[in-house]
Amino acid sequence: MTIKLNDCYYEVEEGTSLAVFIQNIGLKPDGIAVAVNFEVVPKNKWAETFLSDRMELMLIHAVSGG
Amino acid sequence: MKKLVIAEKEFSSRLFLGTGKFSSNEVMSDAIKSSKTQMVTVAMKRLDLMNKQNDMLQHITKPGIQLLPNTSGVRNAKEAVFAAQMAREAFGTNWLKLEIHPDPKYLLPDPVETLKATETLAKLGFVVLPYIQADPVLCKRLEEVGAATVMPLGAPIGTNKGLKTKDLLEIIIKQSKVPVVIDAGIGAPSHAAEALEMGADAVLVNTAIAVAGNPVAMAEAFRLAVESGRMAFEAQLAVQFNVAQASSPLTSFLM
Repeated sequence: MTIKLNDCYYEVEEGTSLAVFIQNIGLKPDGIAVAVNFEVVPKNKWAETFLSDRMELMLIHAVSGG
Repeated sequence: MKKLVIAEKEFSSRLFLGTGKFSSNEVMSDAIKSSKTQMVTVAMKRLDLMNKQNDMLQHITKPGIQLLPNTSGVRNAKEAVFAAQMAREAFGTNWLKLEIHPDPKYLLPDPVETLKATETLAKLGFVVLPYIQADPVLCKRLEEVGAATVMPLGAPIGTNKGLKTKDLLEIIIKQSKVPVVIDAGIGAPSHAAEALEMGADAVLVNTAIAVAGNPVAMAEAFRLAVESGRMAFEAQLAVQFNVAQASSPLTSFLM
């Protein structure tokens, strides 16, 4: 199945959790946040949040700014 | 000097530092040190997975420093509330610099959306520091709906023009029951000193330090100016007069 993260598409296996997906793309949970359909998914729910086909994720991180 | 208290948290530094526009994370980190700031802003962006993760956060996450995520890039209250929730999740803090400026040319804050967002976010438990116009009426309205401070602008973001809104800032300072932080437009240490002398509780400076010839030295110059301005305010400035008031005796020398 295919999911979209920011502007990139990813092929993922059925039953992949958000926690596993984040790990697979080489990210650490510190300093990032993920939302599905503009709803924040708290980090303690990542392991029980399973990706589904055409799911759209937004992932933000820290950048410099005043 | 009296400590600054925001949402029951004490700060001995009254200089807040923005992290934009520094030439490198190292320079930014050194400027944070020399400014002795205890409040540092951070912005958020959608991660570009084609590029490596920026490690700026590790340069600003230090003991004794309160992170102040901002909502730059949002256009209305709804987006601001979402951004605030993302910030809380990413950085583990409920402190927030609320900035809603949909107009890209002048970056002036939208007062209606800012008021709406402040009310919602305060109810959700955020410590909201809204960036706004130097509007005394709006400042009181923000205070009423739960803003932790008000952050009126001295001049538009990044213009370095100083306290162009001075007369209005004076009214805001006089009326406010929450700390007043002058944000935006402060371009020189003398502007910061002026703000603190007037009784502003703190200033937020970014561009003037980040793009200075020597940002680390400029951060220290701002630190000294802020301390000096606050000290002068607490010492109570002498009254101004329109005619000369002699400071030496005018009699009993030649005559």
